[in-house]
Amino acid sequence: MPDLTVESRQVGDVTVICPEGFINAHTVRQFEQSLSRALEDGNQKLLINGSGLAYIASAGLGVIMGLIEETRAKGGDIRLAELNDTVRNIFEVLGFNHLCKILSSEKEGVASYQADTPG
Amino acid sequence: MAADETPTSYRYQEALEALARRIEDPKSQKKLSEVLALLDFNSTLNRSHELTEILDLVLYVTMGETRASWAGVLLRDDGPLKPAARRGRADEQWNGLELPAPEGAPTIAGVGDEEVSEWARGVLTASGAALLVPLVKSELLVGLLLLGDRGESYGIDERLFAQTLCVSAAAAIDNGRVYEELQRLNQRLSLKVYQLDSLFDIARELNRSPDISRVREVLLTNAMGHVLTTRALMLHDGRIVEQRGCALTPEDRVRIEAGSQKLAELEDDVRVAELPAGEVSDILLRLGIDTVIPLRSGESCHGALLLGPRASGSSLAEEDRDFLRSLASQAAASLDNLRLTREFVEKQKIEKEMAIARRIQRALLPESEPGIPGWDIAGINIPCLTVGGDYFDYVDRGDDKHWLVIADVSGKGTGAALLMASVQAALHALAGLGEISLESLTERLNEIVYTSTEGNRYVTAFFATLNAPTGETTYLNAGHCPPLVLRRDGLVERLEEGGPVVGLLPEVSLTTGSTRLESGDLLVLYTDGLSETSSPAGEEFEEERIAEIMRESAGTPSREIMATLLSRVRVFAAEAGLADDLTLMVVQRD
Repeated sequence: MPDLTVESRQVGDVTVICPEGFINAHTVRQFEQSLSRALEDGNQKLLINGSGLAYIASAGLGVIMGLIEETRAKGGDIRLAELNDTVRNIFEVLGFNHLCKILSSEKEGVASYQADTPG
Repeated sequence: MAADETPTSYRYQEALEALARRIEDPKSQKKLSEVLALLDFNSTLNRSHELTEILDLVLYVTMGETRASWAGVLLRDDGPLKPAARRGRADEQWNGLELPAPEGAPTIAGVGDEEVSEWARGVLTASGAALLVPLVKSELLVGLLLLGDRGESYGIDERLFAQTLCVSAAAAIDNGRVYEELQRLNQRLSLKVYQLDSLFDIARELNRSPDISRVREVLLTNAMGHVLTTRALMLHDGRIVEQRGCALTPEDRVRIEAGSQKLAELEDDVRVAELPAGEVSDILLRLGIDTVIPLRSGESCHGALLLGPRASGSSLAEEDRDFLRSLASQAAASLDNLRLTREFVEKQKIEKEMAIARRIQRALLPESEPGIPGWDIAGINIPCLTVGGDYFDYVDRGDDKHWLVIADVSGKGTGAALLMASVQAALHALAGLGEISLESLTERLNEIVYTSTEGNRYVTAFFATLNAPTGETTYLNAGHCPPLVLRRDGLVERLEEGGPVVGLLPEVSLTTGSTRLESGDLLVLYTDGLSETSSPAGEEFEEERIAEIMRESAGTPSREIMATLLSRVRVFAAEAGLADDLTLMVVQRD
């Protein structure tokens, strides 16, 4: 079984990215490609659904950090939802939860973007 | 809540409340209300661990029962008392309060009390409180509960209530602080575990992918993920090889790369603000880079990792810097390994190619003695590197005539070996054309070498035509060390006739010499690798020693004479070894 598979789907104007497995130094390139591809395709509203994510090493956070500023500058964002306790704990230990919006469910994540849109 | 989970105190509370409804005396009712509040307070305290929650509870309950206009708690670690929580009327003074701890344990004190210590009076004045209640746990002052004005002075009942409450509160506050400290430690421990996990993860990845761009990427994304920064640059071997989140102009790039050496040679990580002022640090500050971590592995400086500030705005803790240093040194070691591996592979490839070249060259030299009837001839070539520029040959010219050839291409190594191969090919081609004099042979070779090397290289050579039955020998010496003939009577003759070296001049004028080799004569041909070999003291082997050895070993087979010459020159060179290609030919009549 591969360390990581990443699938993505479109919910309205939000691109939901579902990594399954481990994001570590070995698989991080794959994770980065899936985010970059979505951004290149013009989708600026990304939601990472972490329900299948077992672990994220710092390299994975580095990828998000490297992309988030530019994405926000274009009016988009990278948000996360449905993180398991391990991943949530990592985010809290590092303080990542203060930099990135974390929602409890995918539905809330998608809704959080709609709340941003005026009207 | 299920019945079995109901705290025992609730039952008492219910009973007390029932009792309160039946008591009509207001004073007793108030007492009962206080007891109820204390009971409630204690049972709630037992369920809270968080310090802020405990403090809130202390403040609300006290204010509720005493009707103080405000209440606050000051806490101390080892030093002064400092504000920790406050409820009620806002007070700007409050946050700036810093009060000295008293000597010994203080007692409860109120404004207007008769016997108030100077310290307590100071606290009441500074805080504007009306009542001070010490929070003491195991005879140690944990903090103070301060109560504001309540319209009337604090009576014995309120004081008793506050004191009773403070006994439980002090213990709970102390526990709360221990709990908080534990949580902090836990948090730090989790961070350490995560850092170690990351280092392990990175090490595994760096070990499995022998690829420089991968090492750089892994290093950069990990560092960014840990520091949580949106900006980073990486310098490697003087170039910016990775960048994230930096608005870098081509000019910035050039300037940073020009100053990269200084960054790579830093001893330790450094804040950009602490770098000596200059163009590079100005650019880095403008790009929002604030930390430089050099990538060093022992003496080799590979480059540097440049990071922006944490997105949270807080500065890097010592633990973060430790992590970044470990990360950087791990990456530097990987880069070192990759460099060594590349060099090793390159070297192996060259060695393999050189071995092939050596095999080819060996095939150009005679495999065995020429087998001329009546003659004992031996020859050997020892290249100094894998391949060399020395050459010797025997060519059967028919009619019992034989060419004996020895030559030395200037320089050594591959270049010399290539030229040696063309000389060999040309010589054999010319030999195949039929009758040719030594002068014509040398002239043609001169032409070929001169045009193919444009006068950059030359060849010293000695050609002889031996008439086997008679021993008559015609020779041409083109700038080569003169071969020596040791006559039977002990005289040594040098074969010098000829002309200049082959290939240096466009045209040459040549002569030949002749001699006759009798039975008992000994001819030795050699290259300067023999005569010019140096001893560790810097002395050369020289022709005289060669002649001496020839005299000593005359009469023994050619192969033995050759072996003696070689072993003597090796002893002479000692640890310095042979520094040039060496070729020898020994010729005797049976």
